[in-house]
Amino acid sequence: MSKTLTAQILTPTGALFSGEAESILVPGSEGAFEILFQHAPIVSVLGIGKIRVKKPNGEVLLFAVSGGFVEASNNLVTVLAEKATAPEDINPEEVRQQRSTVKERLKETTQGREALEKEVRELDNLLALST
Amino acid sequence: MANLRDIRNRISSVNNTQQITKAMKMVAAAKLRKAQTRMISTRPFASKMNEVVGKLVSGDLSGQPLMRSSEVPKRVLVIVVGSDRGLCGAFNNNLFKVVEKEIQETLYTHQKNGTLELITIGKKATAYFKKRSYHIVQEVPGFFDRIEYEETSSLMNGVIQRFVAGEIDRVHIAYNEFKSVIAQNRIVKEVLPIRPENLLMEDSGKVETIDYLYENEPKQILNVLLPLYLVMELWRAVLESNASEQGARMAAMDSATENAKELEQELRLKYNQARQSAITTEISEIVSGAQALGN
Repeated sequence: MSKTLTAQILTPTGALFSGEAESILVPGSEGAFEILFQHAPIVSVLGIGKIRVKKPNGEVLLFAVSGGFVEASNNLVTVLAEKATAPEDINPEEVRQQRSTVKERLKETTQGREALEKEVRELDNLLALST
Repeated sequence: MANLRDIRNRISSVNNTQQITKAMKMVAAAKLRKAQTRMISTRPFASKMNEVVGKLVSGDLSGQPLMRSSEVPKRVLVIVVGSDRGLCGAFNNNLFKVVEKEIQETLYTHQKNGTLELITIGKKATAYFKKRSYHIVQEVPGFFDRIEYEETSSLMNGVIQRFVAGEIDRVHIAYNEFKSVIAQNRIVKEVLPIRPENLLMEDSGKVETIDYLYENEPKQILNVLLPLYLVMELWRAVLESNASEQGARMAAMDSATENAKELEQELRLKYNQARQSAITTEISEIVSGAQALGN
């Protein structure tokens, strides 16, 4: 019997990954954790960070995520991410540019700083994964 | 009898129009397909989320700010999802009429006291309601050229913030639901406050309760989930509306092409009649001329 779980990474605009996996690491809001075969049913909110999916053939897939939550039961893991990007879809140039414009705006405004700071963290996360 | 050249000009102009409407129909058909795939690709996300929300909601619900319902709502917000472009038949007007009727029937006092607010998505919606001097707090022109999730979520999060702060007490979304390519359902639906009975799925009876391990307090999870749920409601409405719009445009352009074809046929008949009678006159003139010479 193969000890794999079925994983799905879904975003509002479509599915990013769907298939068998040996383990899946997710950035919970209270800290990252890894879901393996026979994990107890769990629901957790996601923070900003990366998802790492280990496929049965040893291949490792990474995704940058922000927001959403993960649900796992009966070896079926579903990640519902508000934003998720595969590393190959990240354009470092563009992200850097975006980051500097957000930083600029952050300097000028006092209102809505939280949202902007969150944006910076999201962009940092994208950059960290793009290499 | 109309001038031959006049008729010929009209035929060519009808022909041109026909080509344009035909092309627009093709474009709408291509966009419709894209809109439909988009709509379908959000479905797994939405259904899974509803499932989890349904499971969580069966627990303790008190103190959820998004479920605060007031008996007499003071300020009401309606989000109207229209379209940016015209030439799609009665797509916009039908919806706006339903919205106005709804306002007349249930929100009349708010309209009179100026406590009714509108957010209009799409230029056509903005134009229509501005002309009728409704109180528009936010307009989103050009939305359907982009259709971005981010934009939708920031819009909805703004609304949620205002609701939590107590600035508005009730939120409706009005949009065209995609029924089929040629038919739309016009929907005006209340999204805020969230009613627990709406969250529980129809088949919630058979959902087995799983004893979850919660990384976070269920309440905290709901705090994240419910806003997401609302954003998805709007996102779905926008996508449905977009697909409906393309469907409506396709149908409108198809019938325009048909009409042009009919008109062209009529004109061609007239043209041939005119041509024939001109020839007949000419021949009879020649014959009578020849006869005059022969005598």
